[in-house]
Amino acid sequence: MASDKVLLVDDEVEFVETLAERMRARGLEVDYTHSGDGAVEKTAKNHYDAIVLDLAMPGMDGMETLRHLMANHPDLQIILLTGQGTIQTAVEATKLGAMDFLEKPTDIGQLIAKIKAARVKRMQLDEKRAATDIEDILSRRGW
Amino acid sequence: MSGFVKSADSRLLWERGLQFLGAQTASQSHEVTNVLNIINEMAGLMGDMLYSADQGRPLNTARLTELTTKIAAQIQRGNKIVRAINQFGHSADKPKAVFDLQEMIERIAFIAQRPAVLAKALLETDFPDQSLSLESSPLGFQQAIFTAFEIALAAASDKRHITIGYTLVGDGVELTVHSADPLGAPTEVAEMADKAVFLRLLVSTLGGRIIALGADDDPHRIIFAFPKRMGED
Repeated sequence: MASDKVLLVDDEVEFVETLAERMRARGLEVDYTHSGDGAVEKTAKNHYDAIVLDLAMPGMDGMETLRHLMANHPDLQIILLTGQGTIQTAVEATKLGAMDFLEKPTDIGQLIAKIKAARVKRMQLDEKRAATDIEDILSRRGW
Repeated sequence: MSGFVKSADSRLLWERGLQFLGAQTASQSHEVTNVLNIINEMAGLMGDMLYSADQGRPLNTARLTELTTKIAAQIQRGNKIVRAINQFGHSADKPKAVFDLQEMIERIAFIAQRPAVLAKALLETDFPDQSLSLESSPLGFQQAIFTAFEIALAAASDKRHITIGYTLVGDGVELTVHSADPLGAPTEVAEMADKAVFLRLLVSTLGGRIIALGADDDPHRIIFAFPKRMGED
């Protein structure tokens, strides 16, 4: 089974690089970017099992990035990881389609468990879509 | 009626002063949280490395040394933020005090770095060689500079470069917030119009006067003049 592929989005360079190193040591395939624009660009080119997204970033902030990502890829599994979370932002993020909301500092084991759960959810959505596509083909061709 | 207006102004100044103090303290606490989160991850990585060494893998001492250096740098960064918050918090201790203007602008520019960075703007300071002691309200003075900065930041669009500085003029000082992008008229946006009105009230309460507030006055500058001692012309 291929390793979980995750994109970390955070403007704190040393934070994201260190977290990526720790995740890779645990067998995950990790990519990272320091901006919302970078996240939009990377998700357009790559498939990720989960996106771990910070809220406060220069330019396009986390909420705006979340909106963009969900509009372009509704099946993306996005986990918000922030040091500035409030109940209000957590509720808003969930409404926008975020899968989960974690506060920094978080335990790496807990974060990886969320990423694995994201992958399972993503696979279920892929299977569901494949089944719908097959049914659609069958009904259109009259088989 | 004028007594009522005066009391309404005082209340507004008090409320806005409290909001300013709270907002900047909260903003800087986020910066401290960022530092702590980095240290937390680095400590976690060191723990991972030591666990691997316990399992018989060779310990990468060069990497460990690099991490300890990075943690020390983050602690220095955190200390700088905490010192700034502490000095900022104490600026509300007295309604009037003597302070070094350059130090004060540097502190408020340091505090303003976070909103500037989030807006992708470059914030710099520009001082004359000669420093200056002022006697005024330390909190009110910082709030005036920060409010002018906020108006300039809201207008930042293309060049996104803001400079805060001052020049000595006669027996007083002229403070300038310069924006590389034209400031436009603050009245065009409700929130900025409110800030402009408040800035006028605050500067006048501090015994100063506004010379330019963007738009037709000077498209790139907010300038206000203050006497060296509050209450003197």
